[in-house]
Amino acid sequence: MSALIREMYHTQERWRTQLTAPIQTKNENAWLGTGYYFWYYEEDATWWGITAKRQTGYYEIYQAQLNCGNILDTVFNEDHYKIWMKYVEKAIATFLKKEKGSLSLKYINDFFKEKGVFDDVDGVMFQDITDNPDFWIVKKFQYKKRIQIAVYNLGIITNFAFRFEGKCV
Amino acid sequence: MIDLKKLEQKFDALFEQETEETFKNWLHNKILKEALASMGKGSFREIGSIKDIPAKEFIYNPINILFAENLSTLSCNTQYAMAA
Repeated sequence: MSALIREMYHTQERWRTQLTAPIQTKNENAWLGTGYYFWYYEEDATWWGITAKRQTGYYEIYQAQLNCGNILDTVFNEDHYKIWMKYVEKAIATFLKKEKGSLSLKYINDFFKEKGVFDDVDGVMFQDITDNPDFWIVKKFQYKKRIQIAVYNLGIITNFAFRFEGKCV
Repeated sequence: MIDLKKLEQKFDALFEQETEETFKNWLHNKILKEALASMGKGSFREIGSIKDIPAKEFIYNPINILFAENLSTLSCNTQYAMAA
């Protein structure tokens, strides 16, 4: 496996004790299915903590090094992106003929994963556009991608460590 | 590096084997398992029936809406959000 190490960020609520490893998502709308989610940009991890990890009133940001040499990189790799698009759209056309738009992407990804398609893939990297107004040039125009990875193989995560905490708004 | 040809072969094999019906059966079981897991550990006491809920509603409705009339004591976090 080739080494492509990225420093990425994991957001959680602040609880009594700090984490020593990332927590696997249980969110039913997590885009990429069950996995360990990390943000590419620290500011997106922070924004997520402020706006979504509000259960205890405080959030924590952790950092780690991820070996991304064996991930499906739909953000920066054109070939990976084309394959990804082809099969997500095929899944929508095949499995969701009448219910398009009614099901989160999580379940399509979970289906791929549980059927073994991603057995040799350590994770999937994906992007959308943040709703953080700090990145507006003009209103509602975001110049910056919001990038996440869902890690399926814990073995690619090293040096997981607490970075800082903050208060939700 | 990912072997893209192998990955495509796996995708193609999946679409040869699976149909809309098998996907929906998988989805039904998946959501049911997640709903049960969200309740945590413990024992069950029968307080109602879900047998009259159409399968389509069971698959696509948030659990708190689905069970609102049948199992009023059940609640679940259905916040829409992107990731963990």
